[in-house]
Amino acid sequence: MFDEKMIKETYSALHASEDTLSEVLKVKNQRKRLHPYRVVLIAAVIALALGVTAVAQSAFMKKDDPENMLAAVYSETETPAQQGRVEFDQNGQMIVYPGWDRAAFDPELADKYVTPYVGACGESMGWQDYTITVEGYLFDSVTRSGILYYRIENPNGVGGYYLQENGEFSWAEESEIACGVVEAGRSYIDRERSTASVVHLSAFYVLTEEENQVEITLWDEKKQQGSLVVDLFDGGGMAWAADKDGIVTVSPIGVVIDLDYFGEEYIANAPQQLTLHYLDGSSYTVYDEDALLYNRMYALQSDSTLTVSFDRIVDVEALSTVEIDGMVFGVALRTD
Amino acid sequence: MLTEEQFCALAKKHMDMIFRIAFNYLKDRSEADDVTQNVLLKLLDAKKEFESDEHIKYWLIRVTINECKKTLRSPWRSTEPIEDYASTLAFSTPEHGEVFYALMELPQKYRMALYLHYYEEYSSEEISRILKIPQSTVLTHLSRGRELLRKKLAEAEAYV
Repeated sequence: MFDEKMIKETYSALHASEDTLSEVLKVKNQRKRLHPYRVVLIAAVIALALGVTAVAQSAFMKKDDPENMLAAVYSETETPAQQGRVEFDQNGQMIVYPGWDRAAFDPELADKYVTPYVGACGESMGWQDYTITVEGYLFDSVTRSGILYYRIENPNGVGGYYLQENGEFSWAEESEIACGVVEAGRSYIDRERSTASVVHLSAFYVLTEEENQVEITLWDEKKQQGSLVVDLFDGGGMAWAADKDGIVTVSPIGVVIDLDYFGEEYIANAPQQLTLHYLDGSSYTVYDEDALLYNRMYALQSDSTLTVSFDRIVDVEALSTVEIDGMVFGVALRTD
Repeated sequence: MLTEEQFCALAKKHMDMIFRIAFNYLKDRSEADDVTQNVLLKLLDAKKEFESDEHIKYWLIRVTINECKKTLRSPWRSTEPIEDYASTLAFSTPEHGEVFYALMELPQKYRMALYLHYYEEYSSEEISRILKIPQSTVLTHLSRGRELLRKKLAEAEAYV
């Protein structure tokens, strides 16, 4: 049996490795020699224990062609609407194929709410024949989420990945590399621009830490070979709408829901349906688990907060209510 | 920012705690060591003004949990069998070894609550703030964790 003392004594047997502190001090001293502040990674020093490239920007720099990036991210012209369905494989295992509607990219809405906040980047990292370049980013400080638009190039071809029906991008287990955003999120291929040797990706991310930065890492089997850290600047603050109690907060690109309001059951099991209703009577079903309908790019439940990234730009000024599992919250544009 | 002397003192004081929390999450020694190093580097770089030792400890626990969540999202992960690691640990009695295995079989959310409560001696309210979950959830995790632990240890006794 056990008692409190036994649990304490059991955990007391666990210790960090003896060389932990010396390793940390070694890295600290190596940083001092190379640069007084953040380390700038070059190919010759990839052998450093952490090998981090920091992209330190001092202020927000607007991207030159933000509308092209947003059109690439939100255009769904190649992917028609699909019904969700459940199938069974030869072993009797259930496979769920999500469904989705489609909304054409609205450049006017993009210009109204999002285009001014698309930041420029242009930084790259390389390893062997691979080059990773971040072309631009979007960061929404209200939902602490956004999009990173980047490309992976290899003159010999970029392979070893597979795509879901909705363009979701993943690396196969047997791939020689894996590269992606470290923060919680999901990547989607830009099929129109991608070729055999250049793959363009949109990474929808949600920040869970205090720092406003996103990291892309490149892995070769079990070893990290490179890293690119992008500082995110909020280009001024997008418009947003919320209910009077701050339970639901909606930006043009996503929504944050405070699950504490709904109780422990909702913290254990996220809401099953989420719909935005507009003043003109139309609505946008963000997702409906019962109908296997997912018009969202990503959703993250972190502790008691649910953050969902939309698959389209939402006109927050035209919103009337947000419906969560049948519960309706009136929302209005906020200016604070 | 901390001086090297201040940092070393804090690192020696808290690195086992960081490692234990990371191990609770990841159940892998080398990943837990990596997380410990990363967290200590973040402490070294931190520009925050810490108000007290408790504030530092709270910050370290939050950063450790976030680092563990990042590790869980990595494309490849280490998979050292837990028995291999357990064989290196110096438990004072075989019963402690059984408790270790039973703890590692619990769902991570129960394990974290039990560790923070019994080892770090945090109250349910404090755990609620650290883990950012309702206090009622913490109490549920503690209660279910204890019940499951008792059941696993009883099964282990019956098997012997």
